[in-house]
Amino acid sequence: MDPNPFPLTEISEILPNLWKLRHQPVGCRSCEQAFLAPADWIGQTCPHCLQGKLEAQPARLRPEPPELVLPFQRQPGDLRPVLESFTRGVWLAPDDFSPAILQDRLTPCFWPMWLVDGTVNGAWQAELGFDYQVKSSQESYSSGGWQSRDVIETRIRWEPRLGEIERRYNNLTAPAVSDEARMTALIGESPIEQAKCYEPDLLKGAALRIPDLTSQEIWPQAQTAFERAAAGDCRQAGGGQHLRNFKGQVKYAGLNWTQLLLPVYVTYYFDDQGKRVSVMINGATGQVGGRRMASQRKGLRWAGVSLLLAVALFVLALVSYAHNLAVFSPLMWLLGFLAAGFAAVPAAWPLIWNRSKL
Amino acid sequence: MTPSTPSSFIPPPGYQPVPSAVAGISLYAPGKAVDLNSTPVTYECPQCGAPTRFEVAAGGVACEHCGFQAPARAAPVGRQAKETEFTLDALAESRQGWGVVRRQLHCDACGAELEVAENALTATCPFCASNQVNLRQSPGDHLRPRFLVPFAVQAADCQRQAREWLGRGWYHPKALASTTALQPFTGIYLPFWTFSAQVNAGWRAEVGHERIESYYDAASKSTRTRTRIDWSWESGQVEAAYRDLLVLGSAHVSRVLLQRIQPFQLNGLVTYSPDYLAGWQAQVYDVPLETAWDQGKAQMREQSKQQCYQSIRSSHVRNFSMTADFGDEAWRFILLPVYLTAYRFDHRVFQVLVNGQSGKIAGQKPVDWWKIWLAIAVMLLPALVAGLIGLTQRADGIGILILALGLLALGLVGAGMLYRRAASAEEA
Repeated sequence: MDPNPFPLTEISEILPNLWKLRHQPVGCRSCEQAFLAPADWIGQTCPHCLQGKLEAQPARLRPEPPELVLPFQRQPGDLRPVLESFTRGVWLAPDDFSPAILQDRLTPCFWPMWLVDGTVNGAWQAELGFDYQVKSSQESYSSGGWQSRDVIETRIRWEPRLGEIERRYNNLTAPAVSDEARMTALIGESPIEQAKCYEPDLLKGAALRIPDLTSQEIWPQAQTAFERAAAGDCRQAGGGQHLRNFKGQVKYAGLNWTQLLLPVYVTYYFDDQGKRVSVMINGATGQVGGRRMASQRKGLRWAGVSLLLAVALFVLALVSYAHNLAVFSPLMWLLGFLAAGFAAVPAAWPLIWNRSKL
Repeated sequence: MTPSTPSSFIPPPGYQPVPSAVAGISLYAPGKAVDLNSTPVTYECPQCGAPTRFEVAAGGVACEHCGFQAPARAAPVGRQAKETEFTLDALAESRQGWGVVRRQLHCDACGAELEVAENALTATCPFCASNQVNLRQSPGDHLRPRFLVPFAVQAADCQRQAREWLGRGWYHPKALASTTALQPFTGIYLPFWTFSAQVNAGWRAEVGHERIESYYDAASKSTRTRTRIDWSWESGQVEAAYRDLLVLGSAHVSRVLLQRIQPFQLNGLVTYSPDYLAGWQAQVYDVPLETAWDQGKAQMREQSKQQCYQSIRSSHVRNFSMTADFGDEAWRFILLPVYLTAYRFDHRVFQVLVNGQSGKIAGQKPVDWWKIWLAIAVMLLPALVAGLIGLTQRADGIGILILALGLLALGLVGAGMLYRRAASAEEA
């Protein structure tokens, strides 16, 4: 592979009116992430870590604007049903964990991905798999006679192929932020084929996260994307249905890096310790992701109530025993034991639930 | 479409360019070797120009005029000979048959026009005696013969062996060996399919287990025992592997006689070479692959059924049902060597076959039926005599009558066996 495939535009200091936006560069000391955000975001909670405050700070960005933007396709007002579905089913959830509160705190953001264009030129080799069908059979014997049933199976015939490739690929995606995999796992893939050409109006009122991975750092993954695209084309070129053991001795030329911005809503709720727990919603598909925690405090409260009830029942049992209520006393005693035993359930449940959601 | 910029790309040896469906990508695939074994060949001596043929003794192509010899160009493969899957393509090709495109043959050696049999793979020109091989084109690449077992027995040996064989057996005409005009043996490669498969059979049946119980018999006022059968549903699995089951690919040869000259040792398989066929007859199949496979499958499933029965630990079985799942099915199309001849005796024609690999002989032989009937009469005579004696002895003759019945049973069994053997001697 070409060891230095980066004839890239240099990263520049932020310029006034960059990308025809009135956003300002801001940063968070807590998570050390940088954003472009409207001026009124300064002093607000960082939408990434939800811990620190955003402060004005210089940032370094490419002078050319992003190439594509996937606009928000879900409006905050439309997200109530998905939030209700997200919050449902958590026993002993914190009071703050409600669809209404989560909806009120929705913050629109864009997170970036690298788009890379380039020409792949060189030799390749692979094994192409061609489907073919074979006829097998299943024979059944009963009542003195045989019945035959044909079974058609599809198998793959692998054949070696090699050749040359010279193809240009545009807009292959590569992560631009270090937590891209976590984000995708939480809120799913975005329909990037619906992305539009960059226009400043599409970003109105939303913060833009600035890449924390440079194109040099992400080149191995971009290279994998090129190889995957080339392998797919080679499979198609040979008319095969499958491909394996793809190897290329290729060079990359004409590399061009731009950005794609993907929409996300960030919201949060407070846990028992008053710490913000982040919930994210894919701005295009509406898929919600985040930890759904149970409240230990609430569980202990219920456990306390249960124990109090148990004590009351034990007292009643003693009192009824003193008054010679022979039937009533054992019943109270038994119910008291049940109430005391039940106290363990809400006390332990949040711990077990939260561990399972880690 | 190849990449626009010229490059130093050189495909490995044996690779050939193939069409690409995507612009900017060139493709090379391993080239298919040109198989000269499937093209028509006329055998002529490179030294004297006389026709040459495969000689068993020489183990190759030889010229009887100048003594030229060349070993047959083939490699021994035995049972490792490559098998083919039952692809839908191969089955479709098989159904097309070999066609009749070359029924009228032009002799390349002397220019004569020949008529050849529809299923013949070889021919010898009656005008110039040149031997020609690969007269027919297979319907597909899968279906041309790829392996054969060469002749190992010489025709002269067959003739001598046939004389001995004709003289054997007391119930055949005595003059058979001495007076029969035996036609010369013709060596012919017959088409066979070999089949292999793995069969997973699952059975279910009601199985009866015998139990001896005691009971009080009021009539005899004693305790007796009797056998009871307890029936219960049982099931089981049997796995069976079948290798190289042979099914004849020709409808024109007696299956009964072919069965009698088997087995063929498939360890002797070699890769197909027209050299082996020079001067010999060879037939292509006229029983298509699917039809032959149905026959092979029927044999396999019956054997699997027997194995299922054997796995049941009782002889009492009823409501037996089973399923047989076939897997790893594979086949080959091969040629096996057989000598054929016929002779006339008493205005009737009889066939004789010799296994061209092992020399095992089988055929039809006329039977002197009066000898058979006489032998049967002799077998039944003791029973008749004993019966008559027993009847004349009245009360004391019971024992003799029982003996007569026993002798009658033995005589009938012996007579039946003799009759069957004699009938099969004439059967084809």
